[in-house]
Amino acid sequence: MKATFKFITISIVLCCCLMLLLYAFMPKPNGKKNGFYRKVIGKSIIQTDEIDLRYTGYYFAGATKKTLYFGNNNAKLHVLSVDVNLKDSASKFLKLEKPDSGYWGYAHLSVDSPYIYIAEGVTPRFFIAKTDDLNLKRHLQKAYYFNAGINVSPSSFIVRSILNKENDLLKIQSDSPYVISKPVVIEKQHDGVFCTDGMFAMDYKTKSLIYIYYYRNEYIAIDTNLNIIQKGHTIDTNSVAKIQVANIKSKKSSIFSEPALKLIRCASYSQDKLYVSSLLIGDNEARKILSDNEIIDVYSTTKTKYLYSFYLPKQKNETSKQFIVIDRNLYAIYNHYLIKYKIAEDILLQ
Amino acid sequence: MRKNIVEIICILFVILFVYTAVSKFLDYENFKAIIGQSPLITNFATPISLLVPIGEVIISLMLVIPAYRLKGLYASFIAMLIFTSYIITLVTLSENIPCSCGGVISRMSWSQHILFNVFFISISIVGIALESRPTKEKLSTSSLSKA
Repeated sequence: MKATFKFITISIVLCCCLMLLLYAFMPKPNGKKNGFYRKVIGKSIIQTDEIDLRYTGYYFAGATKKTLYFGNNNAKLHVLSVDVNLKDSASKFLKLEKPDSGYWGYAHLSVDSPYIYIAEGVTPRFFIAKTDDLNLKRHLQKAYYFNAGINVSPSSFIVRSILNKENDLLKIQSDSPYVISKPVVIEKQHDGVFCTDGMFAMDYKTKSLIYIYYYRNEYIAIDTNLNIIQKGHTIDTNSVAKIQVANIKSKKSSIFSEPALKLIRCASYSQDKLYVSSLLIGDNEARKILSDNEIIDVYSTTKTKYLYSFYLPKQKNETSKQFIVIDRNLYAIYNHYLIKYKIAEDILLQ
Repeated sequence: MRKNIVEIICILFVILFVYTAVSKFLDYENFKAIIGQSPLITNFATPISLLVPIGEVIISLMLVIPAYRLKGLYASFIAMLIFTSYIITLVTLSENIPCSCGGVISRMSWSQHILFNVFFISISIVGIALESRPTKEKLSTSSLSKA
């Protein structure tokens, strides 16, 4: 019995040592110098308002001068409107005219008053409703599979689809030709799917559109006809995506085969400035910065250059799920809270 | 009675190891890629992805052959202990945890998974305690509760 006990104790101790060794030698994000410097501006934002949205899963769907709109990943027909001062909110539910048997898992809602759109890329199909009657009707005659999309006009969407096993952008519109493709708007580096992953950031006022990559230091500004207006670079040095992808034949799909170096969390575009929540720390910053903040880098798209950075504080130990900048204000969603920050005027003028 | 308990414990381990080893081999590419996603062991993905299922088969064989049964139980204990501490380390380290446990086991949550493992660790200790006693003694409750 004693021997067994000894064996168990020694095993547990050795096991802990093994884990410590593995941890010591594991590649850590921001473990090495990232090779770039930030110009951090202090006292650049002030929290002004806060509202409890009561449920998680909300994302920004659109905005007018007075109202912000939110969709919810857990309730696809739900639209939440919140006034820009975060004092009032109103919950609405869209109605389907006909029962719909299509897939709803990735349905994404967007609002461009007076219209509400739902884009669903798997089945694929679009719906439109008016903000006053909330009756969803099928929208756009034709659709094509997509895995991300954004509404750019009442009669068109820009979507990211997979053509020849690679991501590319398409325009889907109400008139013939219904689906427009411009060859290679986003560029392949490895596999064409993971390496080109990224997100759209749109200026709600001007409808200017940016696609920013998650794994390389690049963004592209495109017009609504899929022409590249400009390419810009974020300040970090990862020009080629640091990812490894394995092709799994049994599942007919690909998955990462190494931890991927994701560079950004989220981005927002407003008044020729691109706001990017970066996951990398600069060489002139302390690593502990990330324990209380997320870092927002600001780029000028007119000058195609990096301007400055500021810190967005964590709330209840969480980084924002998503944020958008509208005029002087930054709205960020944390769990089930929406928080409004005012951006200092002097830094906006830079 | 004592022999039966040890036998049941061994059968449970053999079922567990053979099931997970087979599901790893059947989907080896996937298993290897997911091991690679884990920050803790990404540098050793290829050897670990072979070592784990082969080890599971070897331990199962040891548990089936009476002469190696006790060693097999020791090995089972160590395997489950390493696996459990690996999960605990990973859960405390990061939010995104890759998982490639075989078949139904992959549907467990992390806390369920840890409980599941702790159960197997406990029965391996019981097995070791019962199997390592050379003579037929009266099975006292104290030895059971201690285990």
